[in-house]
Parts: sequence; C-alpha cells; structure tokens
Amino acid sequence: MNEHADADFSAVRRFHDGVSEAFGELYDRYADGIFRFIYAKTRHRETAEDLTSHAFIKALEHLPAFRSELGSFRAWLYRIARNTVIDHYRTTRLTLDLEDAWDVAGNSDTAKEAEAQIALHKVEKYLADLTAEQRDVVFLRLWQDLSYAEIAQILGKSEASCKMMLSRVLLKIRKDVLVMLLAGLVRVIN
Amino acid sequence: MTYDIKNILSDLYQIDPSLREHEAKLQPLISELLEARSDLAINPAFRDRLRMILMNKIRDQKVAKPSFSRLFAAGLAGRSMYTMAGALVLILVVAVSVTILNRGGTPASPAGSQIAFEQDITKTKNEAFGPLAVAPVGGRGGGQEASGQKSLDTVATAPSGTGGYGGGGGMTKPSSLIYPVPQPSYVFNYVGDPISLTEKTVEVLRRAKGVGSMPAFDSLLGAFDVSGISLNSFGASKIQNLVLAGGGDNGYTITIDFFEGFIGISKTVFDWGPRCMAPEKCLDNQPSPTINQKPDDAKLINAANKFLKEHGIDTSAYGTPIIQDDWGIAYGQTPPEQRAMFYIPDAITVLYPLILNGQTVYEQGGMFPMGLQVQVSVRNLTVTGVWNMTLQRYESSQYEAETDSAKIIAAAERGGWGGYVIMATEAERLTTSVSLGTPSRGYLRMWNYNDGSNDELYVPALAFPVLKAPVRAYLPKYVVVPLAKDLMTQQYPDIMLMKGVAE
Repeated sequence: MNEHADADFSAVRRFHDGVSEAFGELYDRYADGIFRFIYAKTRHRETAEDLTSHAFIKALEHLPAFRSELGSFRAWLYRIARNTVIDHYRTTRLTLDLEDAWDVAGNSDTAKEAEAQIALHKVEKYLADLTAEQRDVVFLRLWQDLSYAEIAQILGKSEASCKMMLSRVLLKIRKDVLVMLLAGLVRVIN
Repeated sequence: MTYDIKNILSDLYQIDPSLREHEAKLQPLISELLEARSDLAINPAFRDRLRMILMNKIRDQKVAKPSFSRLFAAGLAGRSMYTMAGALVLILVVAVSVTILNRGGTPASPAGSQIAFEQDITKTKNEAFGPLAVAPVGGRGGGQEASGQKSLDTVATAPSGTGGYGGGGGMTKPSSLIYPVPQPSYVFNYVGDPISLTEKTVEVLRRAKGVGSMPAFDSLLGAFDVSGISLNSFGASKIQNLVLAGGGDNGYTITIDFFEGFIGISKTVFDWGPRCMAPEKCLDNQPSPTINQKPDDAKLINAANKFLKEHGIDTSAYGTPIIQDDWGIAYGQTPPEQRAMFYIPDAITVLYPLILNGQTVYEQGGMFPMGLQVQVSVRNLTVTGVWNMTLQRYESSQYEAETDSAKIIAAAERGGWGGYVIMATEAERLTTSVSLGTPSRGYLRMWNYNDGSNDELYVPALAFPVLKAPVRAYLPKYVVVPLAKDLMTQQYPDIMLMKGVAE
C-alpha cells in the first residue's frame, strides 16, 4: 500500500480547491522517484531531466481531470511519466517502434553518470533482452517499490498479470530458474 | 533476508508455490536486481528550477483577480494611473472592509473579490543591496550588539559547534557570554548526505516597500480642517496607514500599511479589558483555557482555512498550514507535575509558510518557517487575527555564493544563522549531541539596516532538519545557513560571559 496515498488525496483535493502549493507538495514527494524512473528508462541525464519536466507539466495540466476513485495519484503520475518516455522515443525515432533507450544500442551516457551507469551495467545483461513492458515491471516493482495494483494501473493490465510478468522476468533471466519453472510445470500438469 | 525480498518472493509463490523450494537461488537474483537500483539523484538545482517553473505556471493560469500587489504597485505608475489606482484601492478597501466588517456567519464573499498576492520579482544589478548584514540590527531574537572581530570563516573551521537556543547573533564563535545561569547546550553533528554546491552566485531578494499610497485621497487631505487645524498648512500629505474598525460581536479591524505593504486583520475586541462591557463575558475575568480545552490541530487549521476562504484571502503564495506550537514545545518541557500551572494561550497560531520560488522561507532561528499567520481562538474556534499578509513584490540581485560545503556544514554545526548563542564556558557545557539531516533549499529572511532603511532580505539558504531533539530541549526544527558568501565572512560579536555566575 502506498503510504502517501492519503496525503496525495488531500493534496489533490486542496489543489482542486485552489491551493497552488498543494501541487508543490506532490512535486516534492515524487520528483526524485519520477526522475529515477525516467533515468532508468533513458539512461541519459539530460534527456531524463527534459522528460521529467514534460511529465510534471502534463500532470499539472491534467490534474483537474484526475479522479482518485480510478486509482492512486502516484500510479497516475508514473503512467504519465511512462507515456512521456514512450512518446519521446516514438517521435524522435520514427522508423522504429521503441519505448525506451534500452532498445537503442550505445545510447548510454557512461562517462557522465558513472555510478548510476555502473549500477545499471551490472544488470544490463538481464534487462536488455526483456521487452520494455517487462523492464517497466522491474523498474516499478523492484526499484520504485510500487504495488502491483499501481503497476497494473500504469500498464493497463491486471494485478495478476503484472505479478506473472515479474515472475516470468525473473525466470527468463536465470537459466537455472527456467529449469525450476519447467519442473514446476511438469508437477502442475501431472 | 530483507523485507523487500520477502515481499517479492511472497508474491511469486502465489503464482507458483513450487518456487518456494528454490528460494536459495531466487533470493540472490532479486537481491542483485535490487542493488542495481540506480543511485543517481536528481540534480537539486534542476529540481528547484522545475518546481519554480511549475509554480509560476500555476500562477499564470489563475484568473486575474483584483490584486493587492497591483494596487500597491500603483505608486510606481504615472499620474493618471495614480488616480485610477487610488480609486481601485478605495474599491478594494471598501470591498474588503465591507466584507470583513460585516462578516459573522454571512455567506461567502462573491466570486472575484479574492485578495490576490501575486509574487513579482524584478531583477537588478549584481550586489545591488550593498553588503549583506553589514550592520545587523536587533529584532528577531535580539542579542546582536556590535563588538568583536571574529569571522565565520574562523568559526566554521572549529571541530564542532555548541549552543543553546537563545536567538539573535550571527553564527557565533564560542568565547564568552553574559548569561545569568549555566544552560544546557547542544553539539550539532551533521549526519546527512554529502552536499554539492556548484552555483557561483545566489539570487538574494529584497521585499519592495514604500511603493504604495492612496494618491486619490492624498489630494483631498488639504481640504480638511480638523478642529480648526488646516491639514493643508502642513504641506503635501499622503495616507500611509489606514485603519478600519468594525463594530459588533463579530467585527474586525483592518489595518493597511501602504509603506510596508502590509494588511493586518484583528477581531475588534470587546471581550477583554476595559472595553469589555459584560463582566461575565470578559475573558480576563475567566480562567485561562486548559490543555483539555485545546481543539485538535485539524480543527484549528480548518477554522483558519474557512476564514481565509470566506474572506477571499488568496493563499496560493503559501504552503500547507501548520500549527505554530512554540508554546506546545514549552509545555512539553514543563515537568508533568507543574503543567496544571502552565498558561495555555487563548489563541493558537495557524501558520501558512511563505513559498518563494517554490522554496520555504525560514525565520532566523529556524524554529518555524515564516508566513501568513492566522490566530484561532482556543475557546470557540473563531479567528481573532490575521498577520503577515504582505505585498509580494521583490527585487533580486546576484551575490557571490559560498561553494565550500565544509564551511556550510561547519556553520550548521554551530547552529546556523541567528539560531544560537553560547550559554556557558567549554568546561561547563552540558553537551548533548543532536543530529542534523540532509538539508533542503530554502530562503532565510533577515533584516539589514542599510542607509537608514531596514531592508527585508530573503537569502537563499540550506535548511538542515534537526532529526531528533533531546527530551525537553527547546531546539529549532531547522538549522538555517545562508549561502551568500558575504554572510560567511561577516564579522560577528563576541558574547561576554558573566564572571562569577556561570563559573
């Protein structure tokens, strides 16, 4: 459960009542996370900063239409961020169907962001072969600590399918785990 | 196994319980992925800039309202604008006055009568405000008598800082102090993340004053004779202050200071002092409120919000309201057996922190942010006063920034700007370590006596949160250190120790 859900709800309501700073409160809470999420997808600081700006401006413009009964503010914001990244790659690389920087060879900005790049490089072997959607599940569940309900809201899928997706991701990136899955499947079939 | 990994595995087992047998192999894999979580932090300068852009965008989108700022700004406009502005001021004053004076359970103010406080910042040349704090003046916390010659650079290299809350003064070097009794003092230790200071300059703001008047009325003053005294004989006069007093049980008095750019609202008091005509209702004939009578914080804040909304007072320049509970801190310090004697105030202040360029503004001392204050009666939840409603017009000027984070941290460990004075000699201190966390960007409001005027400056600063205060310690919530280099090299007074008392 998102520990800030109540505070988010209150801030959105105050923003609707005309309290501008309530948006600042939401921004303060999520600016870091949204930047990290976008950075994980773009692997380039300047691009991540640009897209973080776009995402928050979109969120500001669309906040009057946000309805809390349809899901959490955090998931709504991450969905905007994800779509912003997708839009970015689709509009800048028209000939390819890309959703993030992982599908673009050599896009990483290794020299500038050494520490982060080293961290990303360690798991590059796992993440590079995944689909963008599968990577999002990893980023959102493992790196952003979002709930499956929120990830489902962001990806437009069911909670169960998101759980299944992470399970498959883990299995896919570990050969010996694949063996385990097969063993498990055999047991299920039998 | 960490909580994260346990949770993730638990989810996976729901999908395929047989995986539980292979936990030993799954665990390091998840751990490796978790560890790869990017440590790249958002650039603080970028984060602050984007926040400012977003907040400006919100302000730009707001529907134009009768504007306090624009009306006060009329003093800078042309002659014909003076007359128009004067007329508008009259309309505003009358509108606000009629609305507020006649309030008392009446319907909310009509749309469009909201008092807006748009922030307007005009850039000026570098170091336009002269040396910062060249002549510190007393005020918030006092204790700033000029004397010694110790610079903060010297102070900042000290291994650790000590101090007890006292207010006033600069970031002082422990030397000596006139103080009647030894007091507990605290050693601040910075435990936050490394600080990166890359900006070469900081933008210091000065609140503009003296730009407002009521020119449409000024010209009429000469036509008045008061008890045979011709106002015209005093030469050109103008209205600088206006006080409108409302009667009745629910009346409010409005004070408008055109020079300071300030509006104050206070309940017209007939339930206190010699003007109280019904002894049974006079508060000074009644016992003080008890702690049990104090409403919940949420009720106090709701009452303040309701009042501001009803009277169309725009709070967009201010942050989320908090209770200014300095009395509560003192209450907490009081031993339980003595609390029955503790004075609980009749009104508690709800504070709406001022937000400048998306950042919180702190008072010297760091006990609370500064901002709009609404006083709410503990007895009946009525608002008894609104203060610090100020014209949000500023000039800005670039000043050289301090980029040495070690000096900034050392200054924080000494208690920051204006927060602490030394209460005893080194040997006598009853020191307790207090941790300071990673700072956030903000502004420090400070006062600078400059060429005969008392400048109200807003200096970019770092606010270090006090992570855990010792029980019964009267400590600030933040230790605030300004980032202007000029302030880091200022010279601050020694404080003399009263011999034979603290010894």
